Amino acid sequence: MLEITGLHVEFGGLHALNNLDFTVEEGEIVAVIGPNGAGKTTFFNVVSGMVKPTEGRLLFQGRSLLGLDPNKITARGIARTFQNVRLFNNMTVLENVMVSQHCRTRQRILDALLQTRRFRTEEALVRDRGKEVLGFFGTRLTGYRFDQPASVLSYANRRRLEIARAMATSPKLILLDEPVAGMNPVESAELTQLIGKLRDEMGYTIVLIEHDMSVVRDISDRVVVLDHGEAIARGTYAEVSANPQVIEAYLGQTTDGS
Amino acid sequence: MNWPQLLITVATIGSIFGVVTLALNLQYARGGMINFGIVAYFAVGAYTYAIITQPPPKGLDQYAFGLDWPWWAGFLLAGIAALGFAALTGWPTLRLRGEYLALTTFAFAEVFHSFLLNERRIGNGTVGLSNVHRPFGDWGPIEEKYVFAGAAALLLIVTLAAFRQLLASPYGRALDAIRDDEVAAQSSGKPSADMRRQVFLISAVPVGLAGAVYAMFTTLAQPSLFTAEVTFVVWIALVLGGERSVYGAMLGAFGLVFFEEVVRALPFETVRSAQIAASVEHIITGVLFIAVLRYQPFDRIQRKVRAST
Ligand SMILES: Nc1ncnc2c1ncn2[C@@H]1O[C@H](COP(=O)(O)OP(=O)(O)OP(=O)(O)O)[C@@H](O)[C@H]1O
Ligand SMILES: [Mg+2]
Repeated sequence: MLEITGLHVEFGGLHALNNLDFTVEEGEIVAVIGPNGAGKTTFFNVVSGMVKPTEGRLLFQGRSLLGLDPNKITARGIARTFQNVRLFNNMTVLENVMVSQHCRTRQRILDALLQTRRFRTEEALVRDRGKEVLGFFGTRLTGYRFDQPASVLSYANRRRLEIARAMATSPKLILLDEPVAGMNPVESAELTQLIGKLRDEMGYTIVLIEHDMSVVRDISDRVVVLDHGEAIARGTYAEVSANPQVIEAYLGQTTDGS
Repeated sequence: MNWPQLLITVATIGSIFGVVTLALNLQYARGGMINFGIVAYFAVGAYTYAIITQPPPKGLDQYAFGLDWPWWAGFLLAGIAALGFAALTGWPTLRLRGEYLALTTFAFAEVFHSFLLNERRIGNGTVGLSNVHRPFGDWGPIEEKYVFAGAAALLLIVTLAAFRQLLASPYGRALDAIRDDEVAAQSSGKPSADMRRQVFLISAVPVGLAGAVYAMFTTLAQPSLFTAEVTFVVWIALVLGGERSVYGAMLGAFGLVFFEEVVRALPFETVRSAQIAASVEHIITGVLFIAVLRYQPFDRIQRKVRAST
């Protein structure tokens, strides 16, 4: 589904990504791990069109993504979340989800001005679909929460809403940047389960960046380890966690090896 | 002081400037664009209307074009011309953000102003175009000035309704998203640069139409009417009224025009006292401006209204 070969990204002499090859098959959950500054987020930024690579090929469903603006890439079917949650804070929970559906619906300025019938039925559909997507997270984002501004949500709910917003773009591939960061163990386990459901029930292919090794172990089919912008190991969680190079580069660095 | 006459003038001019303030509100509060050259779009509307409706040149006329078309053609083409001018000026400038955009739009308007001053064949240079066609006349028992005030108010109401409709739609929602977080909006599929350009173009249309009405009302299209001062007046109105609300923006425009007209209508014995009054007017406007920025009364009222509903 996603085929990346020989990807280079440079920031003023710093090789954030160095000759990276990366493939994702449809229906997989792939975890990207690596120490801080390894280039994980940069990798997402390239795939989602926010950073232009200096070199390399980037194919999604057989078509190149190079040179496309972020909104075009979203339209192709790739959605993402951000490490430092980026919501539309002055909009309500439901609006956050509604607004990102519109890369699928046909919105025209004239339709809106004239309030055509097509416009009104579409708006109702968008609202219903928005509620449905939010319902995926149980009751945490539903009911009275629909109309709350996104800014008042708890941290965990903000992360959930960001995932809901990504789902609302009807993607095929979702990129999650540290989805459980800042959550307590219960919330984290719950979200891990939900990420599994995202693939099993909704059919999304998922790539996630995660520092929490228990999450990685529980849900990833494959793990890719980045260090200094290079992929130093790939394989199942068991394979990767037994790899001496990985232990040195990554696991060795964290204080408790978790 | 002739109050009925004064109020009618305030209603007319206030509506015209209200339209421009609304457009600025859309560009700035929703689109995040600082346009310090708004007067140019207004002028384009006024000149277009004048040129389309005036008779072909004869005798001593210096201008080269006059189509003698009916008023509504001039009115509509004024909107279209402003749109075209926005497309022309927006294309190179909208890549810039914040104060850079402010500077370039300001420069554009200044260039356009000197073009009007020096180009004789199109706009008749410094003298400008006079005797611009005034369409309405008396409507039965209703005097022309009332018809005019009504027409200007209608333009304001239609503009307001159209903007509100647009902003309440998914399109407006997308604009809000872009304003909240442009990066996240892009990754939610919003072409932020394109949409910003669209806002710039759409909002130029009513400004051009308002320019046409202004030309009808004053029966003039001349450079001295379209100086940077117009831009500043509209910006002050926007800030006075609170940039976040469309009603505030309109209120600001009416308040400012009212104040100016009152000062203008004061009877003065000598030229000297009139000059002093003009300076005092500027000082008071400035002080008012600072006070509003400092205390933000309109924002407070709005918050109170929000909280109570
Ligand atoms: N826009 C940028 N400009 C310059 N340098 C950047 C930019 N983005 C990232 N970098 C640098 O590239 C390297 C990789 O950063 P990246 O954010 O991809 O790391 P990461 O693996 O996501 O780390 P973390 O686990 O801390 O999130 C870092 O050294 C970072 O400072
Ligand atoms: Mg990161």
